[in-house]
Amino acid sequence: MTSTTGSTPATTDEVHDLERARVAAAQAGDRVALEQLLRDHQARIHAVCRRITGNDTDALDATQEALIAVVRGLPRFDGRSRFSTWVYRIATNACLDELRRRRRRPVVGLPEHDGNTVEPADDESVPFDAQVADRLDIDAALAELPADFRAAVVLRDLCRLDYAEIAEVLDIPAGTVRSRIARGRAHLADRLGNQPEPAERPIVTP
Amino acid sequence: MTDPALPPLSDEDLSAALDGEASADVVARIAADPEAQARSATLAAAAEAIGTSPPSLDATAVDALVAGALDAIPATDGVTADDDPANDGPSDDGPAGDGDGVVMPLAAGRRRRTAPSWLVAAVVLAFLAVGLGLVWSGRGSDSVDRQTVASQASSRSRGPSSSADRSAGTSKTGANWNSSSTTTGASNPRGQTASDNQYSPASNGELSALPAAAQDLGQFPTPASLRKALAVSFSSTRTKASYGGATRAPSAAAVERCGTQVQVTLALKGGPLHRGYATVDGKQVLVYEFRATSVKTGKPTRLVAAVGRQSCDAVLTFER
Repeated sequence: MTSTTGSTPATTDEVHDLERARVAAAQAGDRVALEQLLRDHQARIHAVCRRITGNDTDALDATQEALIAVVRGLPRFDGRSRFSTWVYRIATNACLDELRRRRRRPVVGLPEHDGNTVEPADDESVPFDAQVADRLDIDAALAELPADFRAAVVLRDLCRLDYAEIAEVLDIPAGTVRSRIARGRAHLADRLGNQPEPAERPIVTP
Repeated sequence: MTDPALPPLSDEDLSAALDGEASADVVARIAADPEAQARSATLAAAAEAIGTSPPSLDATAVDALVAGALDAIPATDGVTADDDPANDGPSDDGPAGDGDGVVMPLAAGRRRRTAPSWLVAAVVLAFLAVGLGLVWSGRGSDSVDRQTVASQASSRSRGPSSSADRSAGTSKTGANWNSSSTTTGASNPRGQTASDNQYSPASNGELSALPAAAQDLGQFPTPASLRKALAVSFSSTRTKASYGGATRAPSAAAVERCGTQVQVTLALKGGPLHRGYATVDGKQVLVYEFRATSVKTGKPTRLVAAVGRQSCDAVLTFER
């Protein structure tokens, strides 16, 4: 991950070295290093959260909670996994938690949910809202996927994690990762490519 | 050409091949199969669409997010000489410890589970005693208020004259809130003291340690009516507002994010004393009360700010 400030490391190894140094400094109490770590990773965290939650408000909430969790969990980060993988774990968990919270609370009357977003599918998948069918976009297509499928696809296609890393982040076997990504992509390809009528839409089930 | 003896290539095969995770045999079969190549291209297009980064946050939002996270640093300001991570040992029980290959729930931690039962009981009893004392005195903090709505009603019924009592009680409990979770009570580098309502330090990384959710202040037709309701004290609005009771409570993270942004924007020294949310003209706003110095008199006062939940843009600000 490229630093958002300061000199940009030339190679991947240098990026990792710099990140390790920052993590160590932050763990030792260096507030500047900690802030830089947060700034380095906030964009990726937010991108993941934006794609998984499907709307700006929940993405911001999940991003904030993920960053807080990074701060609070950093003293116990032991370096056995890459820091970025650890951060993705936290971000993904924060997003899934946010989705669970959202399912538990009413959303009627939310002024900021002004129709630019769609509700995500429950794990059982839900029919697509006809109201937004004409504005089918990535968020809408992703929202039709069960959250676990969505996370796998986002971690692969947005974050470029390999299957082993995604398996580590989601705590599932690599074979399940492979299957979820394939089924998720197939659904998205059909939705984004063909935009069939509601009755023809495929239903993805876990 | 495809070999009829082989099973047809599946989307899983094609998808894995796109990711470089398929076997050489599968890759070779795809290369020889125009139909598979076409399907693969479709899947690749979907992957590319998902890989498009969403719009990034503006600098203000990033600053607020980072500031909100830094506020969660334990009161000892991270890991200091007195809190050496080596003392905790390399732990795999953190929010993302990978020692066992399991994504640990953020609120989980083995250390917590192994706390002596007598200590847990003592802490629970202590909190119960403090809570009952606060309820009895009618001076509960925001979090206590939410749990003891009934006792709050009697406190509110005292009207404006009780606002000073309420403020004093809040300050007191605010200090206790911090002191209950830190032994130092020292100022942090942001200049906030133990009396500021910042994140309680949490040694186990629990999200549940976030400040409690904001108080529901009710529904108002206009910002002016909200201002009128808040003119005397923060919590007195409940006696004046009409209640729909169906609005969604904002998350603690949303409340803290905008609170931090307001604090930074208005250059306030401490965090919000009170947090709430209300519906104004059908839109949800977050409401905060801060200690401030009056720009008119130069004397200590309270500043009330109401902001939109999503962008934290100001809807209403006034001094008491």
